[in-house]
Amino acid sequence: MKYSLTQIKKYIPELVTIPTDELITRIWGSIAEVESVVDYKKKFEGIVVAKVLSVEEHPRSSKLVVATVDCGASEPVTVVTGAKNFAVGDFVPYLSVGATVPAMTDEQGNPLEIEIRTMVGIPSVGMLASERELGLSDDHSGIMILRPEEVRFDLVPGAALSSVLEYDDVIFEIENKSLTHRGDCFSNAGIAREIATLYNLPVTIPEWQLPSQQTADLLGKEFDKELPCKISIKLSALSAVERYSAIVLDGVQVRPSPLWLRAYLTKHGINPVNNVVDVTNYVMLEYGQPMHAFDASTVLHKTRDEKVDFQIDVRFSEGGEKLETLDGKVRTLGQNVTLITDTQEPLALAGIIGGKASGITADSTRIILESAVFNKYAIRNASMALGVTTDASILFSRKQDPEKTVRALLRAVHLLQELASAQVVSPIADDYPPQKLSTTIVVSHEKLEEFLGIALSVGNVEQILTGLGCEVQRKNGMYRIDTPSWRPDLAIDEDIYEEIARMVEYKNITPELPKRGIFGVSLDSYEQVKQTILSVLTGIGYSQGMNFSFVSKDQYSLCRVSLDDAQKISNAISPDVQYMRKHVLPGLFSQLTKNQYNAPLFGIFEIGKTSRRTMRYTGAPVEELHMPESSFGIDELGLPIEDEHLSLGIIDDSKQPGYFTLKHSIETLAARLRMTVSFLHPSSLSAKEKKALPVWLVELLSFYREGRVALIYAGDQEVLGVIGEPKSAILTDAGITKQIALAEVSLPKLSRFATLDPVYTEPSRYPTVTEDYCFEVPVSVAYSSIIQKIEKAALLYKAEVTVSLRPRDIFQKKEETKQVTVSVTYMPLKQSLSEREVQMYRNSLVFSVQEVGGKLV
Amino acid sequence: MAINKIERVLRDQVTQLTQKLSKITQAEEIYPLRSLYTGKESELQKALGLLKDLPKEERPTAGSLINATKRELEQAISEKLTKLLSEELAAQDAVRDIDVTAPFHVNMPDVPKLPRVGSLHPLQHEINRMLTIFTTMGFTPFEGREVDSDYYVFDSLNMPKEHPARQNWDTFRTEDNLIPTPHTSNMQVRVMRKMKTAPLRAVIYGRVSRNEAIDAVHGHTFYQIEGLYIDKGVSISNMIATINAFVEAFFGRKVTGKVQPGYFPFVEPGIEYMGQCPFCEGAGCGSCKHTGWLELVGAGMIHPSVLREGGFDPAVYSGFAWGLGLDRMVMQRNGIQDIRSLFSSDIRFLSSAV
Repeated sequence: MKYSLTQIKKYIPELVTIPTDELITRIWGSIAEVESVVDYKKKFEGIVVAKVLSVEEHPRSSKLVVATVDCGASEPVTVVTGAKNFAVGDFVPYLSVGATVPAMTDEQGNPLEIEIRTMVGIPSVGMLASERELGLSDDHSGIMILRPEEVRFDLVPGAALSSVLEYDDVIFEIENKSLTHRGDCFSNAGIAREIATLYNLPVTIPEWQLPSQQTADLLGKEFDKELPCKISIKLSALSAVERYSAIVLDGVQVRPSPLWLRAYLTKHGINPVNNVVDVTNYVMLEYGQPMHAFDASTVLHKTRDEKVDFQIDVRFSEGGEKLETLDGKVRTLGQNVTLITDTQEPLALAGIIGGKASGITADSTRIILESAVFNKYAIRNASMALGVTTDASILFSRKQDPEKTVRALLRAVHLLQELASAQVVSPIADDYPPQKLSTTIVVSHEKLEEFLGIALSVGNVEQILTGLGCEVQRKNGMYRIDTPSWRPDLAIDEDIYEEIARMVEYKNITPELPKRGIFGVSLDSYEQVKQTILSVLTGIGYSQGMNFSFVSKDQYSLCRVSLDDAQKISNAISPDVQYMRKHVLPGLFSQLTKNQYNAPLFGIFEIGKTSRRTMRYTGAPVEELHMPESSFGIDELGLPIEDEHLSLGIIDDSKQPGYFTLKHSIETLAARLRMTVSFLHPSSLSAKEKKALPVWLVELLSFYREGRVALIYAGDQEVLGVIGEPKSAILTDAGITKQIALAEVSLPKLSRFATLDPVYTEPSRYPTVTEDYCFEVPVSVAYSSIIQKIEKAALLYKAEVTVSLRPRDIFQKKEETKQVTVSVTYMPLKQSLSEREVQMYRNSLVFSVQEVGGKLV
Repeated sequence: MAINKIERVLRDQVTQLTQKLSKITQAEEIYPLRSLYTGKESELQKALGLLKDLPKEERPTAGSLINATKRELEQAISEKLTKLLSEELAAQDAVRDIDVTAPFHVNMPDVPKLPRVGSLHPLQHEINRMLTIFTTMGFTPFEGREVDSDYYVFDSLNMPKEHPARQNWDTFRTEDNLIPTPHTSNMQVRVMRKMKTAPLRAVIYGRVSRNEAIDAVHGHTFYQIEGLYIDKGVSISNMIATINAFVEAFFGRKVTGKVQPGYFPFVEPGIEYMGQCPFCEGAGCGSCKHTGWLELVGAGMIHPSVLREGGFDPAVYSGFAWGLGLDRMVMQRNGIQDIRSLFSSDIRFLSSAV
């Protein structure tokens, strides 16, 4: 909403003593953020009224004319221009050298500054402007001609154009969103009330706005006349309309509005249409009452003798009704859209937009003027359902004060009498169902001070509340507050606290920290595991990526992973945000793909939430759930479980299969979390074990190359996730030419096996012995089974010696066998080892490996 | 040759090829067939040569017949080829050519080490910094849900069904009518019900989303963090002081703040906290859009309906909440121009931390 400081100053004359900058800062601090401030006087600096003294053809160009004008300076000036629509004696806007064109920029968007420019040999000193260049309208057909009858000031050469056009104003704008709850602030009069309260200044309310002014006073002699028309109102849609007032006017001469009115609207960002429509908009800007004018000849009526009867019915639409609205669109209405009808045909969408057929045209003479207040929910729902937002719908959906309909109507009638020669031909029809207009709130001064945290004077509190329109009675430290009809948002004690807080200004509330006890807070164990993962993975060279929680069909189908059971977004504006992810991997895969040429070897990981449509919290404890379900318990009933996953991947252009590079990282991570992990090809699982795998993991298996995939286990008991390389077909589709491997694990599961506070052991005081053993085994024997055998054998001696293993080499030169070299370290616990003992351990280990067909080389 | 004869020959070609293709099991066997049926010496090419001998009026019919057959033959061949190649790929993929339990591949004991120092995502870095500040201030952290019910996103926050402020958030919806949450306040009532006792100090953070088209300054996904404080006799003065302490801890320096009214339905009153731009000290720079001030925090005294919903009697308790978007902080701190750099990012960006 845009506001005019000139108009506000008419309501608060004493405001002239306050500098604009200070005022804007104060509005910002107490009402709402000011989006923009435009000082038109400044914008129009150097632009004056000029009188044309002569006009001649340019001697060397038929397209140009040379004019001399009196711009109030001692000497006339010469201007060269392409427009030829003006004549000697005309008054025109003149931009002197140094002025900037208000509504035009160069190609780079910089303001255009006027300088002396030679045009085909003749220097043009300054410039004459069109309405468009001044920002008054879209008219660029010629130089603007200023006509004495159109302006309210004398046209004198040299007079500042901004004063003559009544453009010497400061317009400031507040975003509608900031005033969602403040329907009363959507007008100059409304914001003036706030500003007057801020400065404790008296408000001069124009007489037409006084509630005591009755229809009779304003309509004068016409009031007693026997009027030829009558209008009656029926409110069938009673829940949607709070008050409906209307009047019939005749003899209306529809024509363009005078300049001052057009300028007023333009400054507020509203396009002038004709005097009737412009007046309704003027009243809306001034007073916050949206109005609408109908051409009465298009409205169904009864004629008896000389009397004409109109009847307006405000009713809900029946499904399927059609109405062509003023914007030229034919709208098919659903049910329950509030309509203004002439008992048969719809005339307008109530509170939103008028119908085309009943609109004002140049030929309209008799009009019906509507001033009504509609229910905010009815207007908001209809506006959203139909996709139409207008100034009226914006105002109504923020709740308007039904008290003002008749006063606004009378204001418009006055203006139309003056500007369109309108005559009143009907009494005012006014249907005003009884409703609650005020709330009584009782607050204590003590509580108020406690809530704000500062001391307040009783007088200050009373001044603020009365200024805002409340009636206040004070007794025993309590205020009894009756709220005004325009402030339905004031309903509870806290609303009153807010009014006081913002009006005394937050900067006057001295900050004081809460008095606190001593307490400690640490991250819970899950968060600590997460932080450890972050530091381990970044420590070994991984970068953390973030991909959207939304995924597309394409992403999933590229990965050959099913989207079944994904939560689907029903109102997505882009195909990239169709589903909520069930896995982190597809996003990470496309990120790896995009980056494949950005580095020869790199790793990315991501931690993110995954969910499934049908996997919901049922109230039963789920041990592996961490957040937030298990934590918040019953509150989560029925909501999809959000399971956090860690996905990591590498791209590499060495020969080593990517699988091993990634596996090594996972083992490092596990070691740092003091947990053991093992890797198992899915084919080693029994049917029953396969069935027990989590769905997300089974789904991911179709992404992996069958021969290069493994399940990741914590120890050998619980499956954490999966690791492997993508299918060859996926690599082809994605255009990947390097080694790539990806893994995904469930973070809550991982965190259950992690040890955050490890136990430390003193080292042995006896020397350790390390030996390398090379076993030749059939190629089909898994490395892990050799290790398992060694570990099993070592277990026998665990009271005497701690055995640790380190892989050295896996070497294959024959078709059927490979040689696995393991470094074995014996750390004696009780005494130094003799050669005999080492021999015994070695034999024992070697014997054990023989069970899988291995022999020591 | 008459047109019907040509037709017969061509039909026969298709039948022959189909039969032969059905017997093939290796992709390489297909290439001789291709030259046999579509190559220079093929019946198809011969038929093409015969065209000129046909009566003029029959030529177009015969011509289109030959072309159609050619397409049919080529399609049959390419379909089969694709099928065989993908079967071969699948068969190749099925080979257990690595020992998945081994630490490295045979004859390759050196596993490559990632060459660079890794890095946290800049958003994570900021989350961690914030959590450190909040926990040292005694606030217990909670990460928020991403998809939530109307109840937590709106109803519990004093925004019943018809509330106009619901419009201020352009939310996504799932087909089950759940909402990818547009703010982290969806956790407020949960946290109150869980913590139960005052003084309550909690910090909520997480990923939120809005249904907006993406460009350099708008994203549909971003991160928020908010603090929650409830106790007896908590005042606006306490709120402003706490926010100020937080902001100064965050920037690691003294920050001049100013407070202006703001509107959020779940607080009463609502405020916006602006900080004098710490980058230019109020002189005006790119970070503050030359205003000298940064919009840092949205806040307010928790609305009594929200307190009540969370199990705190508003006649006894009051409190405040304050929140901020992390993405903007990250962009300001790092001088990032395009918000799209943050998600699905370039590894060169991620590893550029210095």
